[in-house]
Amino acid sequence: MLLGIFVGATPGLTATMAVALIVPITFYMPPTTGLAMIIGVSFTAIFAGDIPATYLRIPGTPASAAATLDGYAMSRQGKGNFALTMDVLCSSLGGLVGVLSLMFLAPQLAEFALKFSDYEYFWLALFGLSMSAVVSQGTLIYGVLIAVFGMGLSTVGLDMVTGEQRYTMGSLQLMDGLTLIPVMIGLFGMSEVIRFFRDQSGTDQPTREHAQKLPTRLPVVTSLHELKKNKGTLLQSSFLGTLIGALPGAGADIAAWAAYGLSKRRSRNGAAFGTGIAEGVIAPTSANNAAVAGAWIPALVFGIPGDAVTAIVLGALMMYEIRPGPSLFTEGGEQMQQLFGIALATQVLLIPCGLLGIRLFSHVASLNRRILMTAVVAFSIVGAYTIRESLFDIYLMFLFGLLGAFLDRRKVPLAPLILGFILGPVVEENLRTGLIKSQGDWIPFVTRPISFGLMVLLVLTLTGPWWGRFFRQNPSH
Amino acid sequence: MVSGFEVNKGESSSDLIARPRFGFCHFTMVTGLLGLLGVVFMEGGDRLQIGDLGPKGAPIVLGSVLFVGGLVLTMVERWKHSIEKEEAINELNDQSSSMFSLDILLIIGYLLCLPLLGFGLSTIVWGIALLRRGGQRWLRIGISLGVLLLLIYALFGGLFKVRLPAGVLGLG
Repeated sequence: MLLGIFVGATPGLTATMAVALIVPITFYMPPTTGLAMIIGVSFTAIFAGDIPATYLRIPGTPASAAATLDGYAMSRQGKGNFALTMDVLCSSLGGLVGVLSLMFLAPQLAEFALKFSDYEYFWLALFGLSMSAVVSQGTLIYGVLIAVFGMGLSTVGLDMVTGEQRYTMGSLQLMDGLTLIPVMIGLFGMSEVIRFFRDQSGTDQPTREHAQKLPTRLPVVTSLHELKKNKGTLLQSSFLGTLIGALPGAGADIAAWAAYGLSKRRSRNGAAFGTGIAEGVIAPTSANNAAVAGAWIPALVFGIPGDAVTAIVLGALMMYEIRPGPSLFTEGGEQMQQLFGIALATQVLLIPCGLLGIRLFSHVASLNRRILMTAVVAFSIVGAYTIRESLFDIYLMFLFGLLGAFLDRRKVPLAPLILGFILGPVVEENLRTGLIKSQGDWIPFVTRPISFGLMVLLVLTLTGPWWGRFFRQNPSH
Repeated sequence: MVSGFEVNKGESSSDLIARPRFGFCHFTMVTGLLGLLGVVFMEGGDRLQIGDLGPKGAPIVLGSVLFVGGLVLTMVERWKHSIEKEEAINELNDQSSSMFSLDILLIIGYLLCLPLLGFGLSTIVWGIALLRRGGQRWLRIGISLGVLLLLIYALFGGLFKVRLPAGVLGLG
């Protein structure tokens, strides 16, 4: 678990990478210990990604990008430890909800998830994109435009159906498209460095704001009190995370954004989201860990991995002669008990391990800002380089840093851009494969029951504010 | 010397740039231009058929949305807000821009040195330049850069077996 925290907290190293690294080590261990290690790493890495996202605005993993909003805002107010203590508790509780759902609802949820085809995934991705309007602080049109820009960036590379080149300008590197990790590190991390240099205008500011405001103990009791106050948000986000995680292809990153958007829309403090409020931390952090557990549902019931991490875990399970499928639930009683036991214990142990990680990382955050920013640049460069061992990714990261700083200065929200970049290919792929399947007919997109339901949900989400205003102004309706 | 920021007591540089409309015209113009470029560079618009969007479909649709959105926003912003105010604030920020430009140039220099000097040497040269400019002492610079490089090489090179840029000298 500590390795998971270490890898997750390092920008550029994803949860997938952490699990992939740990699997060969577990070959030399007894099956139960090996499984415990793999499951432990897969859950902790997602939480750990929130640590640099909160302190430095550099998401450790893509699933932590939503944590940069309110988590980082709280950190700037000197409440970084409070945000992260809530985060670890939410991650643990969200994971617990996910594992309990896995134990009791797995067959039913998996059956529902398998009804999703290209048409439903298209609407689901569009629903996720509609969150860009919700998560952006400005008006709807700015959020939508910047999300469209993000989607446009995701079209760079080879066409997913025909293999034709798009905006590659003959560059070999661009044929693979723009890689998510350098884009994310640039937009959130590098832009923060540039903002620091701009605001400091060359002078050294030995700010020890974090250190001065750090309490001697982590505020566990206060955090628990805050969670009790927002238990509705916690439960709602955990269940939503589990559900989205159970859909193959929709990972923890989409779950986190969707939970954030939904909570903002439903909260009485919706306008305060993004300024550093507890609900803005609770929603994405409980959803992303719940999604990890949710991804196990189709994996264990049908052998279909929900995301890349689960795909690796699935391979490891087969190595331990655990064959996923419906028979696992009926015949593999002892194996299932072992799996569930390990998953539950991981959620409990996440709290002490997570608190230790926060404590260690908070010392880094209390360093002199200029030295810290030097380290952030070096880590950002290594993080961007690690993915493909390519200098091109480093330059890409820097360019996106400049873009992020430019947009940040114009008060344009960055979150919709990354949301468009992640969901753009999902929307396009499902739209086009859906159209190919239906031979160019658009009707199946609206006539299938789940598609229709998702479409209605999308319309309601986008028109929600107008309906709210209408009913407030016309109470008789 | 009194800087632009000091004149506005109680208003930090980030407060200044936080003004909602500051620079927005530029953003919307860039957005519109990006959309236009997106459509212009995406040849073969004839492939955009309603039944099969083809590889050009998404870029053309997205570029068009950006172009139209950018144009609409530019007109709305132009109508609502005078650009003169933006220019006045720009002038205020120019006083500190030379210092900022130097920091950015240092980062660009660092990135350009990477393929030549390798990660380790480039980081040392850049780190010294940046931290000395910030008034740090030599001892502190040495310790900071030493710990940073040790950590990165132990973590990425040792544990994760990532080959960091070695440069033409092969020093890594």
